[in-house]
Amino acid sequence: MKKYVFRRLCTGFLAVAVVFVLNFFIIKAAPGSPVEILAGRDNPSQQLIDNLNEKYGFNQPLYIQLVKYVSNILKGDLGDSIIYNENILKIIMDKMGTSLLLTLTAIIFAVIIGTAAGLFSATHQRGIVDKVFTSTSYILNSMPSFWLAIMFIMVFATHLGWFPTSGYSDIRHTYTGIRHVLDVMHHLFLPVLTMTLLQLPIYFKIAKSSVIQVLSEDFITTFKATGMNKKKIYNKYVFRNAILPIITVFGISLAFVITGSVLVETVFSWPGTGRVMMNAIMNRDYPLIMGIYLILSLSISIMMLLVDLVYAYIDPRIRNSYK
Amino acid sequence: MKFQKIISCFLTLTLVLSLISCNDKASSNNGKNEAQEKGTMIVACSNAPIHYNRNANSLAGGYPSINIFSSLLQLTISGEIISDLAKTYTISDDGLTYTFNLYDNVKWHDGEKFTSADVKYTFETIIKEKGMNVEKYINIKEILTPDDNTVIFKLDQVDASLLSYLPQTIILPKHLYENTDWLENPANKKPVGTGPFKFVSEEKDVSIVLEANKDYFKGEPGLDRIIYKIIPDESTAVQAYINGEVDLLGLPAAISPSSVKELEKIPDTKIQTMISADRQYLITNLSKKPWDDVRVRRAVALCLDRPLLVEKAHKGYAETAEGFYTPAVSWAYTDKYKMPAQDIEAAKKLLDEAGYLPDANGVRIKDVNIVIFEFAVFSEIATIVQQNLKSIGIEAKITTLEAAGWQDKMNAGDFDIGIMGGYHGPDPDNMVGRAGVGGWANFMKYNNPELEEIFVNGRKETNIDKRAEIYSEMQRILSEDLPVMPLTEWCYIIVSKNNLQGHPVENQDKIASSNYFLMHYTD
Amino acid sequence: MNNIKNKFKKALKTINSNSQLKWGCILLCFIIIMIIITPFITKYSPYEISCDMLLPPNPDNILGTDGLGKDVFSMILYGARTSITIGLISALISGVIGTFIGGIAGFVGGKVDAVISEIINIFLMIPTFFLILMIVAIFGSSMFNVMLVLGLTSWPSNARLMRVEALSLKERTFVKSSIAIGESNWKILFNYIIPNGIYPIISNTTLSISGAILTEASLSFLGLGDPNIVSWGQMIFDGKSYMATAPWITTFSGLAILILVVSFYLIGDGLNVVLNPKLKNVNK
Repeated sequence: MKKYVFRRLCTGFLAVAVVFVLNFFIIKAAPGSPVEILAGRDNPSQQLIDNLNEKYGFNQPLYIQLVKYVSNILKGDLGDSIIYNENILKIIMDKMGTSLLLTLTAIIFAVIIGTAAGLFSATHQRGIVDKVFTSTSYILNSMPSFWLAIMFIMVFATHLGWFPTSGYSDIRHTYTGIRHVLDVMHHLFLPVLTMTLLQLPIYFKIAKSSVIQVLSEDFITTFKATGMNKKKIYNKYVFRNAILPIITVFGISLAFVITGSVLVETVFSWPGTGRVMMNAIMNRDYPLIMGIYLILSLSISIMMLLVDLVYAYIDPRIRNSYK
Repeated sequence: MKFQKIISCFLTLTLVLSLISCNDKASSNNGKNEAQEKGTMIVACSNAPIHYNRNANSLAGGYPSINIFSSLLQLTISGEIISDLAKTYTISDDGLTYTFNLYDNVKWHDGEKFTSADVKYTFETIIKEKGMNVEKYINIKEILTPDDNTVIFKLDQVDASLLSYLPQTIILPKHLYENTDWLENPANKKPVGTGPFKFVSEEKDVSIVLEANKDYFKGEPGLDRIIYKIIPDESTAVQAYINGEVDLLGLPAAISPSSVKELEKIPDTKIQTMISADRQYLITNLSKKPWDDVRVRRAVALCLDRPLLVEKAHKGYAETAEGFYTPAVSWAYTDKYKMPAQDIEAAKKLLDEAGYLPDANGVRIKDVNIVIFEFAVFSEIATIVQQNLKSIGIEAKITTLEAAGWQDKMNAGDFDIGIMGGYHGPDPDNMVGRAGVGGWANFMKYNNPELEEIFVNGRKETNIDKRAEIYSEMQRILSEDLPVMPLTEWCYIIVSKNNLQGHPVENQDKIASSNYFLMHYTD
Repeated sequence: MNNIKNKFKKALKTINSNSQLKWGCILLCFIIIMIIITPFITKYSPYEISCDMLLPPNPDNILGTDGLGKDVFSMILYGARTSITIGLISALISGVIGTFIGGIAGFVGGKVDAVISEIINIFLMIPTFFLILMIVAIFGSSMFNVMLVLGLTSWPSNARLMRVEALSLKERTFVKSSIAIGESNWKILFNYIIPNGIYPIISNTTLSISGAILTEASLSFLGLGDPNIVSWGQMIFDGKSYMATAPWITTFSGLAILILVVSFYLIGDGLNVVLNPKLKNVNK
C-alpha cells in the first residue's frame, strides 16, 4: 500500500512540475507582454516600457527567470500580479470562495440528482421514465454551456423577471445578515441551475451504466436465485459496488472545481477565478497565470491521489494486490 | 427509495429559498431612495481599473478617476480646453514659459489644502518615474511655485501641443505620495483627490462606490452617490439596464452599436450620441508589395463603401470619415482633402495600370492578410472591407488577435492590411505617432520627410491659425499618399433613463467626458 | 458484389438493433443530406451582407438575418460543414495519435510502457481548456490551429484505451504465435493488435467529435474563433448582442450545435454498446 501511495505522489509531483514548466514557456512564447499592456495601446511610452521591463526582470534570459520564479514558489511566495499589483495568493483566495460557491453547489446537486436518476433508470429500464431521462440526458450533454446560460437569462431574468441577470449581489441596496445570504442565493440560482443541468448527464450515465454492469454480474443473479430480499440486494450489494465509478468521477470533478467555469462566470458576470484566469491570459499576466495554474494542478494532483487512494481502499481487489 | 426522499427535500428547500428572495426584486427601479435626497446613480462599467493612479500606467485610473481627481485643465467633449484646478493661464510669447493661476479654496478629500506644491510634485514625479505622457513633459526643465496658488513651467523647447495633454494628467496629493514608491502607495487603491466625488469603497471586480464631495471647489455635485457596477460582458450590461439594475450605459460600459439596437425599444430611455476624436482607419503595409504602389492603395481607397460601414458595422451610430484628420479637433480639421467616394470601375482601372490584371476567376491579388484586434466593430468592418476588396479582385482573409498579440504582429510587419482605430486628439500632433517615422502606431512604416518637417513646424508654431495651415498641409499629403485611409468617425453612445439629466453629452462645451459633476435626477 | 451487399445488410441490422445508434445515424444522415443539398436550397451565400440587418424569420430569410444582414439559414447550413470538419479532424488526430502511442505502450511493455503511462497520467491532469485557450490566444485562431490543438490535447484518453487492449491482446495465442514465428513487431502492431483493439477507440473517438465541436463553439464564443469561416459558435457570439430584439440568431445556432452534437453522442454510445458484447445482454 505504501509503495502505491509513494508512486502516486511521485507522479503527481512530476505532473505538476511538467505542467508548470510547460506553461511557463508557452506563455513566454506568446506575443505581447504585460508590460506593453500596462503601457497602453494608445501611444505607449517606450521609456515606461523599458522601465517596467527592468523592474520585473523580463530582460533576463528565460531560464534565469524560471529559476528565480521557482525558488520564490518554494519559499511560498507566489509573487504579485503585474497587472493588479497585488499579492497573487490574495487575489486567488478572494475569488476562489465565490467560484467554489457556484461550482461546488452545482456539483453536489448534479451528483445527487444525476445518481438518483441513473439508479432509477437502471432499475426500470425501457420504461417511460427511463426514456425521458435518457433523452433529456443526451440533450443536456450536448448543449453549449454558454448558450444554455444565455437562454436562461433571456427567459427567466429578462422576460419573466424572476431572477437577476448577473452579478453576485444587489448593488443598489447593501444587505447584511440573512438578507444578504438570501440575496446571494437569489443571484446564485440561475448560474447553479445552468451548471447543474450541464453536469447531470455525466452522473446519470455513469450511475446508470454502473448499476447495469453490477446487475449483470453473476453474484447478483445468484442472490436473486436464492430469493434474497430485493431491497437488501440493492442497498447492500448493488449500490455499494456501483458507487465506485461515481466517486471517481466526482473526485475528478472536484479537482477541477477551483477554476470555476469560465463560460458560465463570464455570461453571468459571476466574480470567480475562471474570469480572473481569462483576464490574466488576455493581459499576459505571467505570475497570475502561473499562480492559478499551479494551484489548479496541485489541487488536481491531490484530488486524483485521494480518489485513487479511496478507490484502492474501498476495492479490496486493488488493496490486496499490493500486499 | 431512501435516495429520492433526500432529493425531494433538497429541491423543495432550494425552491422555497429562491422564492423568498424573489420578493425583494421589485424595489430597485428608481435611483432615488428616501434616505438620500439627490439619489444614487448606478453606472455599468466593463472593467475595473487596477488602481486609480492614472499617471503611473494606462490600465489605472479608468473612468472613476475622472470623477475623483482633477487636472490643471479640462478638455471638453467639443474639444475646448477649459479651466480645472488652474483658473487662468498664460503662455509667454516665446512659448517657453507657462504660468498657471490656481484656485484658492481647493481641499483634498482628506481635508488637507491643495497647493501649487502638489502640482510641482506630480509633474516632477512623472518625469522621474517615466509615467504616462512623459515624452510630452520631458521638455519641462523647471517647475517654479512662487506661491501656493501659482505654478510656472519653464520649457527648454517650444511645444505648442503641450497644453492639450495637461487634461490627461491628474494632480496627486503630495502629502500622501511624497517619499513613497508611487506604484506601491496604498493611496493608489484608496485614492484621495480634489474632484467632485470621493472614493468610498471598492469590492474587487464587483463595484466601486463614490460619494459626493460637498466641498468641491466648483460647487456641490447633483448626485449623492455614484456606483460603478463592474459588468464585463456586454449583453449582461444591456440586460442589467433593461432590468433597472443600472441607470446609465455610457463610455465606461463600452457597449457596441449592436447592443444599442436592443435598447432603442426600451421605454423611458434616451439614447444620445456625441462625436469623438476617435476614428477607425485602414492601413496597408508599405514595406510589402503591392502596397508600396500608390495606385494600388488608391484602388483600395476607391473600393471601400464607407457609408455601408456606418450603416452595418456601426448600426448607424457613426459618421462616415471624409477628411484626413478628426473633425472633433475642429480648428485643425480641413475638408479640402477627402477620401474618394466608392468607384469600383476606377479602382479596377488603377489596378490594371499597376499591372495587376484579373485571372480566370477575376482574382488580381491573393493571400491578403487583414489583421485586426478583437473588438466587435472591427470584426464587422473587416468583414465588409473583405467584401469590398473582393469586388475589385482582391482576395483577403481576416486574422483576429487579442490586444497583446496584435501589437506584436503589427510591429513585426506581419500583415498586409490593418484595420485599427483610436484617439486622434487632443492635438494634431497625435499624428506623429500614427504616421511619423518611428511612431508607435506607424506599423506601415510610412516615411515621408515632407511630413516629418510639418510635424516639427507644427510643434514650434504657437499661433493657432498658422498651426492650422501647417496641419492642413499634413492632411493634403496624407490624402495624396494614402498611408492611412480613414473609414468612420466613432460616436459615443450614451443610454440613460429619461429622468437622469446633465450628462456630459448634454453639456459638451462645459465639461469633460465621463465627468458626472453636473448630473442629477429630475423627479 | 454479394459480399458487400451482405456486409451492408449486416451493418444495417446492427444499427437497427440499438436504438441510440439508430436514432443517431438517422439524425446524422439528415444532417449530411442537408449539407449536400445546401447549395440548392439556400438563396444567399453565407458571406453576403446584402439583406437588411436583423430581420425576423420571413419568407425571404427563413430563419431571419443577423447583425450585418447575412442570411441565418445559409449560415447554419454552411456552418454545419465547418463544425463537422473540425470535429472529425480533431477526433481523427486524437484517435490516430492515441492508438499509436497506446498500442506501443501496451505491446512493448516494460520501461517504455511505464514512461508512456506516466506521460498519459500527466496529460490527464492538465486542465486542458485553459491550455487550449492560451495556445489559441497565442498562436492564432485559424481553423487549422484549433483542430490541431484539440487533437493534441485529447489523445490521452484514446491512448489509455488502446493500451489496455494491447496489454490483453499481447497475451492472446495468435499474437504469441506471430511473435514466435518471427514476424516484425511493427507488422504485429499494425496487422493484429490495432485492428483488434480499436473498437473502444472508435466509440471514444465518436464521442470526442462531440467534445471537439463544443470546445470550438466555446472558443468562438470567447472571441477566439476563425472569422473567415462560418461557424455556429461564432454565430452565438455575434448574436449575443441582440438577444432581446433578435434572439433567432443565437437560438438557432445553439440548436444546430445541439442537434449535431446529440447525433454524435448517440452514435458513439450506440457503438459502445454494439461493439462491446458484455453490455448487450442485460435483462431486468
